[in-house]
Amino acid sequence: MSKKQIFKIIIFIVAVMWLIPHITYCIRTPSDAKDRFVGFYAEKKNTIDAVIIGSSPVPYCIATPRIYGDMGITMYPLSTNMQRPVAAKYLVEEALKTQDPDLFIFEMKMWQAEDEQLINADKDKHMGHTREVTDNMKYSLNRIRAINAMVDEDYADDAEDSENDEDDAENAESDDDGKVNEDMKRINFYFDIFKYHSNWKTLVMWSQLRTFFYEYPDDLKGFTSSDEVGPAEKENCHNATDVVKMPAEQEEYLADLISCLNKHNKDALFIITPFTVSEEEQKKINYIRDYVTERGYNFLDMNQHLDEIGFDEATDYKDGGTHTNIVGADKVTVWFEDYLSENYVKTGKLGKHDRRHGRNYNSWKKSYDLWMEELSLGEDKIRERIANGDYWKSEVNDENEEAE
Amino acid sequence: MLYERFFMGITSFYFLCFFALVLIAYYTIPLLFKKRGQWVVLLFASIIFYLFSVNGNYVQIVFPLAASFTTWGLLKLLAGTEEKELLKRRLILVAELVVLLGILIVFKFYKFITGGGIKPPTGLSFYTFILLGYFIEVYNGIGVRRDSLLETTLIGVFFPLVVQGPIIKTREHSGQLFEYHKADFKNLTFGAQRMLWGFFKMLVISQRLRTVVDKIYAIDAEYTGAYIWLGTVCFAFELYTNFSGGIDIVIGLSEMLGIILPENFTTPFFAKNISEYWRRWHATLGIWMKDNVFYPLLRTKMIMGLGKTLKKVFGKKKGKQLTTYVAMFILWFSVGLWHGGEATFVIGSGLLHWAYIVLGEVTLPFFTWIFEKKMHINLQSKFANGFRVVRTFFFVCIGDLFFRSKSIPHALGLLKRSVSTFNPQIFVDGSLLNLGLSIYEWGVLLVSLAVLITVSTIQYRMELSRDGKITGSRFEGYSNLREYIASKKLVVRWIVYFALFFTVLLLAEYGPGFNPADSIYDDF
Repeated sequence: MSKKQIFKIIIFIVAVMWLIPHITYCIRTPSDAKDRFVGFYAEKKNTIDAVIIGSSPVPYCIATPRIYGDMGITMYPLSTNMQRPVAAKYLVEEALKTQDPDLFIFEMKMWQAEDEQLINADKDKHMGHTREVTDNMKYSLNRIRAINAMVDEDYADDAEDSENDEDDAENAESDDDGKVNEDMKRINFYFDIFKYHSNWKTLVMWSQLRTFFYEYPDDLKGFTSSDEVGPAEKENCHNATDVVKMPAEQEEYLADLISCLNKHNKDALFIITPFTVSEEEQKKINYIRDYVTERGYNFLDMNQHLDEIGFDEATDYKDGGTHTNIVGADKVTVWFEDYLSENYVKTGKLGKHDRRHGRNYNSWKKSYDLWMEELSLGEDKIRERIANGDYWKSEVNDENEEAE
Repeated sequence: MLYERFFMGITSFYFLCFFALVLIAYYTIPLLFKKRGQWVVLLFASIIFYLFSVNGNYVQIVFPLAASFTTWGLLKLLAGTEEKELLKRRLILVAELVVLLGILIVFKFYKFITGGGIKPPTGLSFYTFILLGYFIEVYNGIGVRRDSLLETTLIGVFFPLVVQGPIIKTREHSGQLFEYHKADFKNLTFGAQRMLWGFFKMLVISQRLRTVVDKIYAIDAEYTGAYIWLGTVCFAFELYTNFSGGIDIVIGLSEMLGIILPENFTTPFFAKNISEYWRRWHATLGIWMKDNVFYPLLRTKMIMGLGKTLKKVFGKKKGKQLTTYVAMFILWFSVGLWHGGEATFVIGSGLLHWAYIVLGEVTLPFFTWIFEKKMHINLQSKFANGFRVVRTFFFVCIGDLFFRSKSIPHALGLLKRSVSTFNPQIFVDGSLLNLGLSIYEWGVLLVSLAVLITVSTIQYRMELSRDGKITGSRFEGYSNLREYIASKKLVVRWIVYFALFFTVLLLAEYGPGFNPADSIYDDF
């Protein structure tokens, strides 16, 4: 083979290898989480002051455009649904690749749940929640490490064995079971095109094509607005004062996260955003509170400050006590701004530069304007819903009603 | 389990990784060992491949190894005999047949005989036929015996062939396994293109067709009329794209190793009669059967005796013809049995085709008289040839209907239901969307089939051009489509290659949410 021929082969392979990840980016399933991560990667280098890492309450609750407009602080959530705590460290590493934030904020709701419990819930969704983290990262070593930490193949093997046993016993078709098994294989995470190639139909959408480089600004800087109203149905047990140990594996992840923060010399704030907490959950949250404060970090349990926030559990939740609607988000954000101002801005830990000035932040200015628009529309809609008794209904309730 | 994590079907990701490593080792190791050692890489790779493609039944490796060792040992014994020691030589031949065919019969035809079943070792009939063919060639003095046990083992387990063929004539092709092959640009690129085309056929077309076919052919399904014809045509294409796609991959990857294998499929659906169809479909099986079953059978005392008797009763010409039909019956019965120990295979891919050929020959004078003399149709016209192609395809489809059915009653039920209703409206009223494919999937399938048919047409025209049957074709002078594409400018070439690559990557059915692509012929 001549040198020219070798060169041609190499160029062809390199071109294919370069295109594969970018096409994968385009066909990853469209979602709020995808927009959020793509938006994060699109932020100019070292322009984010604080990164919030946590599960789904975060983007509904912390109105980052408002914080920018009110305080000149750029804050961005790297949150995903039911985010497993094991992901936090890798998201910190991911954020630090392009940003040098003064503060990491960790939303801790999921940390009181056992990882196995979260995985089992995820298995029913073909590991969709885990994938929201790994499949929204750009290709990198850190992504591989995140997959290795989050996807346990032995767990998959156990599941396969038991499913195979059942198959043998019932001599049943294993289509659906097969899917779950395949869903839990690391190889399908490393090369997520194996999963998402069937999204080829979406390649006609501009919203997909624009993610070719996995960078496209998010209009509301990671915030997700909701104008639904779902009053909290359960009793909020935030007053529980006892302490119950958090799950051992989550404690290990927390220790690991703290050493990661120390390694990078980064400050952190650990928070609980408003939700209807059970007594058992609150006891574990108390443990987490003690754990992080003993290590010199602040812990903010917003459930303890619902009155100060002015939070109305009858009108400010979107879905029965888990996520806030836009009115709830506004109340929480305004109060949170005061907290940040008192504990971080005044002490010089955050907001060293007012980002409201300068061309680099035009997209943030637009996001603030959009937020104000969304808030105004959202407030009207929520008032209308309350007046009409148009409340959110859980799927479980729907099913029960149908059954009746 | 290790095998579950790294299972290597020929369309699996791990197989491609494995093959990439083999390719690197294959072309670099000889640089360290004075152009030697390539075949050792192949042997080593073949054993690893076999172990990872048997779904954890590692013990299955014993069978191809035992068959190879037996063949090697018996050939060694044979080499120690004199030409005149006929009895001894025949006994050795019988021993080879008993051991190799014995295992084949026990595993594959056990079901045919008893109705029960045991899963045969992967690639059983392929390596058995290759090794038997090799033995018989040496026995007949037309093949060269390999003195080395390991070399003989490589003939038996060479990884591209062991799963689904093609069934090589060792005297023509196995020599390449032991020669030194330098990395060659054309072999590497053309081989990769051929593999890609195989993936397109198997994963983009065949897998989608399978969804439709599985639905219509389900044992409890009650589809009628056009549904069954649609399902049957879909199955004909499913089987073709699955098997020939697998063979494309095998031939392509062998080409990348510098080893040129015989073609197994040459546009079979363009065949004008059943005999021609079998020269184009799974050709290496047909050749093997003719060489090792049909011709030896004609020389047996039993058939020769029968021939004499029949010639006496029916005259020389008809007697000879009838004798041939009897031998052909045994040949086609064997072909059917080879496909599996079930009556549906014996009929669908065996005896029905025998009947087609015999009836075709018997009725040829009558139909020629009708069409030419009475209806004044030019039997050499394009129309007549087109009709022959459609007719042959129709007959093949009927065979495939048996082949795909669960049982003979199931097949007969399908045939009965296929004419019980006249429902062509299903093609326009949206009914097809209930067969497991969305409108988009149907779109992909139809466009892909159009591409396949276009490529097949080009290949067929190239063949006609090579044979001098047509002139002035733009493809004249090219031995295959890849050569034609390679003659184009780089931009055009790369657009074609990239388009094919990303079509396969995006539109193929693989990964989570899809059934893994099995090769239908793996079990044969």
